[in-house]
Amino acid sequence: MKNYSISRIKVILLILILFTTFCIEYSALNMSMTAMSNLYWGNSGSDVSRVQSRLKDWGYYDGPVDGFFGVRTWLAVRKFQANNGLNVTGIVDDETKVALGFNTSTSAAISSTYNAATSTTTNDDVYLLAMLIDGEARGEPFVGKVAVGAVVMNRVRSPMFPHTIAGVIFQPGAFSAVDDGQMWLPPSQDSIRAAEDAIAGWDPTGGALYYYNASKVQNYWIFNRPIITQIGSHIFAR
Amino acid sequence: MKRISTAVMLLLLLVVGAWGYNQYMQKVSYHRYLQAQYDRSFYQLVNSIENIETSTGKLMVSSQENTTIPILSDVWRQAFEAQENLSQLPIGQPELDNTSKFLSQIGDYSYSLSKNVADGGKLTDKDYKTISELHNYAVYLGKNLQDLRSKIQGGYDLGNLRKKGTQKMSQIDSKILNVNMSAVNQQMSNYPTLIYDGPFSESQAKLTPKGLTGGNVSYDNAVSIARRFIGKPMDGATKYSPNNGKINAYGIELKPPQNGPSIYVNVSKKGGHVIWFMDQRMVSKVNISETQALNYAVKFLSSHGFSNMENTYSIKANGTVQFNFAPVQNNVRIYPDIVKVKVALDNGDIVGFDATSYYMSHVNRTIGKPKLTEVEAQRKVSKNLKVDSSRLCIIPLDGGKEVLAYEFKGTYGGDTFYVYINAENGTEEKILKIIKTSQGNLTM
Repeated sequence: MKNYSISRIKVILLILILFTTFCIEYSALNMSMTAMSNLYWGNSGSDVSRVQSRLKDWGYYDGPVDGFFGVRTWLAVRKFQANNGLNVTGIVDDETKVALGFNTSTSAAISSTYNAATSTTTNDDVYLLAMLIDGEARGEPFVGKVAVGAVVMNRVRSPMFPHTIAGVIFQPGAFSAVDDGQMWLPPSQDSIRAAEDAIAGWDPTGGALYYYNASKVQNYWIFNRPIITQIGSHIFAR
Repeated sequence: MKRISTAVMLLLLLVVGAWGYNQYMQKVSYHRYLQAQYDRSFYQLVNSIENIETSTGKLMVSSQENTTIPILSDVWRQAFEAQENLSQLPIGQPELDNTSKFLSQIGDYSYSLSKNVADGGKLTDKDYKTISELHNYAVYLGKNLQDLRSKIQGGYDLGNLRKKGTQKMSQIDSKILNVNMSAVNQQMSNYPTLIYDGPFSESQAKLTPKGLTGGNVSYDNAVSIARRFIGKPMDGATKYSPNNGKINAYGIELKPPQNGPSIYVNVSKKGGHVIWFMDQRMVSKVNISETQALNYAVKFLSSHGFSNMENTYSIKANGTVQFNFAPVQNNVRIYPDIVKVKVALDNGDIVGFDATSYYMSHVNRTIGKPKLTEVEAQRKVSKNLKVDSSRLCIIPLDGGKEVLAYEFKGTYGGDTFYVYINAENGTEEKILKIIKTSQGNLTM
């Protein structure tokens, strides 16, 4: 009887130990994902989405941009490597990343004469905006998604708001998708497309700075803003 | 048995308790961290405002350009930083609107003054009057922010800054609204930011559209205009909300046959012009080349009354290419009147069209003879730039002005630049740098 109980305690302890180790492992796993390491079959996350959308833009990949490195992504990576004279491994390593136009940690030597610029953060801006659009306007028509992106771009140009895309998106309390974490899901292909359009200057709102969902508005001051138009369920205002 | 199970329960309670305590400590540390970030923003904001006070004060007694320009640049920098920190506070945007705008404008104003002084100008009495007025507002803002600081000091409560801050800021904000910025040109607030979509495509500082011709049209008329413009058989047209933005327009949603994604069209109420349309269709295959796509775009434009248009810029993404076009008049490229056309690379269909810039700024211009010859203008360009090509063009400037300029495209150290030299007086008006990306070239 006694032995039985002791073993039960042991079991509980064992479960607890397992649970804690699992927690630690899990957080360590998450941390290792944030530094862009090599990507291979079975990986998932936003880095995979970026690779997929790049491969898709260049006609190597025709599957969904779902952030999961599966067989179609693997085949697309191999095809890309073969076409670009890289080792055909199906692994997105440093060489492949450079060929895809992503930054790697390896830094080039800095010479004293003028060097041409080699990278921009524009792709990161597109992805950031796409995440916000996805979190804010998931069920909206495509034009409605572009409109949400256009509001961010109009704010960047407005004297009343911060002057960068990240500054506008992360302004405290500005977007509910940032507050409730909806934004951190991998964006759909449609949202990335909409973000690219918004950054390229498309604005279906005609200069709106605010929008709200007519059915779930929380801030009542927004009713005082002059309304410009409605697209899908969002009302856009100046 | 009973005692043992009690022991197990006690142990569990201890474990849960330890877990809860750990969670609580974590929460407290996040809370403090966040509070520290907010406090930092707030203190830096107050600091910047105080520096603006000091610098605008110094401006009143400075007389030479070697002191005036650095002080003006400092005001510009401090105003930018203040605005940046202001937008980090957990206070709602409506309470910050005017303060934020005030900071942008004082920054833009001192920037334009320092440009003026660098060009050999002097600050006028009117400038000094505006500066002293702005100084007084900075003093008011600084005093009230210090007031707020003493109220929320030492409170480790996030709600404290949010509540008291919101109250105080809305008071300050309504007062700042009274800033008389008459001397500060409203349009100067058109902040010099990145140009993402080709040279000068965001040049709509003008508030009223100049390019709309003709009388008002009815909604039914607008629908038939939209159908004709798309030029493909459409099943139905639904009315969606009209647009009261830059250009008053009817919103029309056209449904293609076989239930495809619809096309959104805006047709102006005055004159019945198609301002923009967007086809929501996803393009998944690439069958035609970019050159073929350009031909389709040119054909589309000329068949819709846009003649003499020249392709200025293109960007490729998601199976489509976007081309920007500018009209050419007497061999002068008119950058303010940009039209965007998007071509699908699967079948060459036009899937996007945007003439907002065109209808905002297009007028029949009388283009004068340039005072400088091309050779004279090129002498004003830096020796470092290896010039490949040049042309005459009209470019928009800050404040909604337009100017005739020579455009020199050239390279330096592998980077490509556009340099614009004023064709009247030889001033270097603008320098744009091309950023290469996988989708196309960006100008900044």
